[in-house]
Amino acid sequence: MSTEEQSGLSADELAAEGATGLPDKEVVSLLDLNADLDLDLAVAAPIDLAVAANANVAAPIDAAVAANALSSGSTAQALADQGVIIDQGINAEAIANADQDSALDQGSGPDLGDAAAAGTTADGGGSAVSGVGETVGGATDAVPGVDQTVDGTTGALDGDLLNVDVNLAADADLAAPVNGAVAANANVAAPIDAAVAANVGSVDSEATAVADQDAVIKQNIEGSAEANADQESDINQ
Amino acid sequence: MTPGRIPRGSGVAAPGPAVVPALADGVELISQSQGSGYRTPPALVRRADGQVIQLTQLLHLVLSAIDGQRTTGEIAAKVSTAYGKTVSEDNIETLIQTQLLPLGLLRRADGSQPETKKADPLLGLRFRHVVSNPKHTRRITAPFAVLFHPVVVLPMLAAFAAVCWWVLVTRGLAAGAHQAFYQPGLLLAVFALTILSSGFHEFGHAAAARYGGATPGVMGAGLYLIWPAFYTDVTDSYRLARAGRVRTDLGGLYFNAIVAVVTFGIWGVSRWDVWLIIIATQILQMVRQLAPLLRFDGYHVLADLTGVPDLFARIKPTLSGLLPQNWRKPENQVLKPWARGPGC
Repeated sequence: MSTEEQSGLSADELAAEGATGLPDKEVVSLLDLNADLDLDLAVAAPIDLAVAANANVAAPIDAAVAANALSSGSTAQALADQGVIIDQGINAEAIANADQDSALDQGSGPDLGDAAAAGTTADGGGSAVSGVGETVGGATDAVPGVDQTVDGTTGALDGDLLNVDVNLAADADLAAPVNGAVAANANVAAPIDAAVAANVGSVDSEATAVADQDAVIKQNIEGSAEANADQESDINQ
Repeated sequence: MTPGRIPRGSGVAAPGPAVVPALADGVELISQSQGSGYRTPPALVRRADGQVIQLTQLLHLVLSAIDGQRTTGEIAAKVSTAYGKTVSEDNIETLIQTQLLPLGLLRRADGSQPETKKADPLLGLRFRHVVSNPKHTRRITAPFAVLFHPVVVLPMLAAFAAVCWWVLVTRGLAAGAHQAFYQPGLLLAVFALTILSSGFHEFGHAAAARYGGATPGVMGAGLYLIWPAFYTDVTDSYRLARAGRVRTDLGGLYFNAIVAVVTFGIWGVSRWDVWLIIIATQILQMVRQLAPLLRFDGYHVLADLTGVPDLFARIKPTLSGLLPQNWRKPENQVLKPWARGPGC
């Protein structure tokens, strides 16, 4: 037996031996669906919206709460007295017109993008609700008329579509002209009256709460709310 | 004979005590890595905590010879025969002290179990929440293993190819997207079903591992980098041959394909074009999963095809091996030439 055989492996040979811990093999699937749907979509989604509204809202709220909790020989009294006279009148006309005329020509992909035209007219004719008279009590809140006009919006998107974590986008020919018109007349009266009396952990106590509210609310709208949105889209993708 | 240090021989004067090493509880010698990209295929061993360790041939021979009965001298004799070169008792003790004991593969000298710590992989999953333990995973994925029988796989893949062609080329997704626009609730349904299909994707990995003969581990959810993710532990698939490992890697994608085919069937009945969007999301998920970056399925496929399971760890040595002064260094000769490509 040679000396080398007796002495075994050299230090270098031993140093060449090694071990490596392998990573756990965990196969993952992400819940972020952030992919791009590069699928040559041709989508036309013209949306036309017109809303007209006249509203009278009267909501007098009257509440009284009295409570004894963990108390001995105590008295709790609550009285809420609300007297409200509400007179609401609308003599108005709310008109919303949304005219949309879209001519879409999408060159790539499946041909679904066609010409779409929509016209919607909603008339909220003058309605008058006169007089709501009730007797209760509380704060007074009056919102006289609201006139709103929303102009038509045109959006021609070329890109991310259903970017809902569902990676639906990429080279999508997408035209989404949105046209909206909102007209509103509103009378809102919401007098609130509240009284709360409570005894908690008391002995021979007396709690009294009195809320007295008198309100005379007179609301009147004489006018007209008109919203017109005209949109004309000529999109060529 | 109990593990640990005991007197050598029987009353014969000796310079020091003999060592009878013993494996730590739960250590399992798997086999030589099959289809390996290493010039000398490493052997695999698995600890009780699930950590798989890749060993060079000599270390594996030493570990194989350790049975809790043999002394280091007897181990040296056995290993020398198997290795074809003389391995001295001192060599064995050196390997035990410097390699096997620190790896937690052997009991300590006092017979106690070693403390072990699992490797923390680069780009690994964080904040894991286990949903299904290994026992439940085995039970709930067992019925799906039959889907990997070739009689099922081939028609299913053919159907998937046909559905893809029809949806993407012939029919298009415009009608489905249009419907989703006008009924946004459907978009939420698409979203929910896509998440469910991600869970089903994980079933695919587990069922594939089981079909190949490996035991899938826990299934759950966690945070991968910044994204929430479902995951399945298929570490046991390291024991499979290359085909079995790649099948495990592709099992999730195969289940996505099944979802797409089934969804197409539902579309055929309901004629709701929004179902086609779900088919598209399946295809998208599959395409993204095939990316070899991060630890997506594509990474595992690449690692298993090349037979280099620690692919990320090989990037640095492989790149440094490209420098002329490192061409002849032994560490540059570890991988087979064709296995170095992915490492770059």
